[in-house]
Amino acid sequence: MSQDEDVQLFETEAGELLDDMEQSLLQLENNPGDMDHINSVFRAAHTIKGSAGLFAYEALIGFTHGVESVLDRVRAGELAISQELLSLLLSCRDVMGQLVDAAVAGHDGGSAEVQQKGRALSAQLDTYLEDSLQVPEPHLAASDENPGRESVPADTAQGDYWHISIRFGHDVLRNGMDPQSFIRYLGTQGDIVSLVTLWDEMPAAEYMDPESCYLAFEIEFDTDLNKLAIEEIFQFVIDDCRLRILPPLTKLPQYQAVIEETDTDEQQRLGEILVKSGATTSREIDEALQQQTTTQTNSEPDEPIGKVLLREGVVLPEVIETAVAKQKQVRENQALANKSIRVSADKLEQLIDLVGELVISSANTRLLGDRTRDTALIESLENMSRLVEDIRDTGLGLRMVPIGETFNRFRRVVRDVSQSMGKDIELELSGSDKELDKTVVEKIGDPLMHLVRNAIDHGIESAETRQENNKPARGKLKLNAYHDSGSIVIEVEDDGGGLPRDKILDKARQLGLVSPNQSLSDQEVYRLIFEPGFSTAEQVTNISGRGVGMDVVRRNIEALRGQVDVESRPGKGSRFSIRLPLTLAIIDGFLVRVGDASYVIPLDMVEECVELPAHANDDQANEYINLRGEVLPFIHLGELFRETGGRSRRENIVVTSFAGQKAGLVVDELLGEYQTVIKPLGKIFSHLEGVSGATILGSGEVAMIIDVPELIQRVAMNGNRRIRDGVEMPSMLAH
Amino acid sequence: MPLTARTSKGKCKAKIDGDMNIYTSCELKDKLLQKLAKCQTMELDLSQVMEFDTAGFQLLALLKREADRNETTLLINNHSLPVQDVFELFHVTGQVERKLADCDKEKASTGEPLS
Repeated sequence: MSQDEDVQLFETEAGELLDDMEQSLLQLENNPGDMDHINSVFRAAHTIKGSAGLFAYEALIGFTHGVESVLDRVRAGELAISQELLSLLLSCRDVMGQLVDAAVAGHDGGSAEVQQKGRALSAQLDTYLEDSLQVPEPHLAASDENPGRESVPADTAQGDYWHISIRFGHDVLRNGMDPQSFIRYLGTQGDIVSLVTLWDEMPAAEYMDPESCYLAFEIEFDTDLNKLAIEEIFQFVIDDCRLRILPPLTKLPQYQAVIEETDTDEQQRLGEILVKSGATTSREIDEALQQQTTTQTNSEPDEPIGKVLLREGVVLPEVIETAVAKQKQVRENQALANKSIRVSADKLEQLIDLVGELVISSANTRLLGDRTRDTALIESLENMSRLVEDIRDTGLGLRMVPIGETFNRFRRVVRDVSQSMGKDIELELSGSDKELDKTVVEKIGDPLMHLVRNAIDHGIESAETRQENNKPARGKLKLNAYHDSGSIVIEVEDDGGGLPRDKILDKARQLGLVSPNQSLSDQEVYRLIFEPGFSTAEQVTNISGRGVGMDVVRRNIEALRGQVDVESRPGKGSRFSIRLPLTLAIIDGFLVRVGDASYVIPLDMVEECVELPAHANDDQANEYINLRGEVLPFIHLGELFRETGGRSRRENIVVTSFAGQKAGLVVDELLGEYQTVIKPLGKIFSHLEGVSGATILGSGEVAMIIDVPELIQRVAMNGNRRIRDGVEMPSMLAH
Repeated sequence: MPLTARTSKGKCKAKIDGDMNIYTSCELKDKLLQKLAKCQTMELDLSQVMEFDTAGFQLLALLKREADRNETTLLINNHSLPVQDVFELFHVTGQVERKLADCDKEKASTGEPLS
């Protein structure tokens, strides 16, 4: 890999890690004690620092180091998560992002502004480091800072000797064993350098039972035995004593080396890693596990085994650290392997193209096969086309990504924007698992951002106004996604004041969009906000309200063959729905014949097919039929596209629906379902109305793909115009 | 009866003759503590101690602690070989009284053992 590719990889990875970090920090706001999220934040900082080291991005490393140190203290339970700390960490995350960008661009350290920001944040981080030093928690690190208590073994273990700390159980003597025999035996296995006998647990004279054992020993022991062998010396009393064996300091590098060398292909428990290296014995792990469960039942937070082992003085912190790092590495490797594999978008694009060709060619083969009337061949072709269909679905699935990632980005946006506006707003996400084409996801971010900012700025009122109107002070913003007939619908909903109908109408009249005596439905009024240059905000804030935007939002969405709509209820809130096609590449189509040509109607939008009643053609102006009591406007495709050729005597109506509206398309013949690869029309045809693309049929013939949403709109508009123009409604409406 | 003791003018001369182990420790504990409570100085002669085990050692440790607590002087003399052996093993050998006292002091200054 070239240096460039390395850097690119670093950038992508850092980007993902920073996203993770942000998400976890935001989760911590609601759930400050969640160890998973704390670890995830730490991991992100740690990994970024590590990767930055490979490229010697000094500024990034330096800054991230400070962040990591604070996080380490949080992780060790020495520092509590607070709102201020989270805000600080979020800001740090932003600066890290800027430093990453700067470093990747070849300008390590970034602009003066970034550097200054970084220095300010580092200073703030330092205060957290100092604070936590002043108030040592009675946890892990206490042994370094609190020499009064546990320093006896800790100090003595610093040397080249084993330190054995044993406290015999009360029943040892009664069970016929004498501690002195163990000490004697120990003396034969090595050199007892020093020994301190303690009887501090002996109770007051009247309670002291001479048959109970109250002795404990702290022993410095010089031996070549390993930990397990030393433990075996005490084998007979092992269940009836508390035994701690601390390895000599000189053993430390040895354990660490063994841990480093351990195979990384299997996920191991921390305990297993430690036992393997010889730093602990399985008995000690069992005991620690026991401890772990008892503390858990005492409703204390889950304590990791590493911590238990440390607290119990079983292993030295350095060994645990190495083992934990090892375990983390194994986990990370595994997580990456499980999560995803990186494929360049080009390759995927190429695959999808090929799948498209395969679909067309298989349709062709099937057509030819059908003509032979060879049952065996037809059966085999059936099978093949089913497989091709599966391949198509899976192939398209490769490009599908859940919308959740896009949604998650808004947590931060909502948090920051609402804070800067002094509003308290809760973001609710649903349907995050709904998938849609990656290209669509990439393009939908900006329009969504605009809608969200608008909702926060204009939609949701200030807390005071809300309380006056008997609403909860905390505003609610909902992002929702769901699938609906081949489309995905993304909704941005707020519980604010709703759109100001009168203000919009006034403004529209000022701008000359609406003539003064024109009367419009609520829906039509609300839709006016998508007109260019429209803003009703009395104040221009830096969030929104500059009069550009909603029309851009609409344009962007329409460019994706989507639609945007708005609903609003005064005082209750408003809801913007964006409707997008799931994919841009392949659709299931419904093949029809109109005159001499074939057309494809996207199958998702086809509701049903009914025969066109004979009398419906009598009056040309009367383009409605009564479909089970509903008014169904229809349009003659043959007339619309000026197709020549024989009209069949029995015409059919294909009932299509889109976004809750229905229209009938009159065709000459129904040819059935057909898989279609959309071939976009060249630029020269972009002004064509009513078709959205073309496809090649098995026979080699070109078929146009009908743009159903546009036709439905056209039909509906015709209807509205007729109503407005006072054209009489068909008599059947009276029913 | 392994313990013989004679008290006069607040001074008790005691001698243990026989085993000082888990089998005799209950009896010895009660008797020794009784004697200790009634004197200002106790001289304990261990020259005739035969078997001396951890229970016996604990008993001496208890005795010493009680003596210190009541500000009684406890002198342990003439420890027999088995006693010396255990004292050496437990690194409390030498001037026994002082050593025992030192142990207590050391314990106090270094705090609790690793727990």
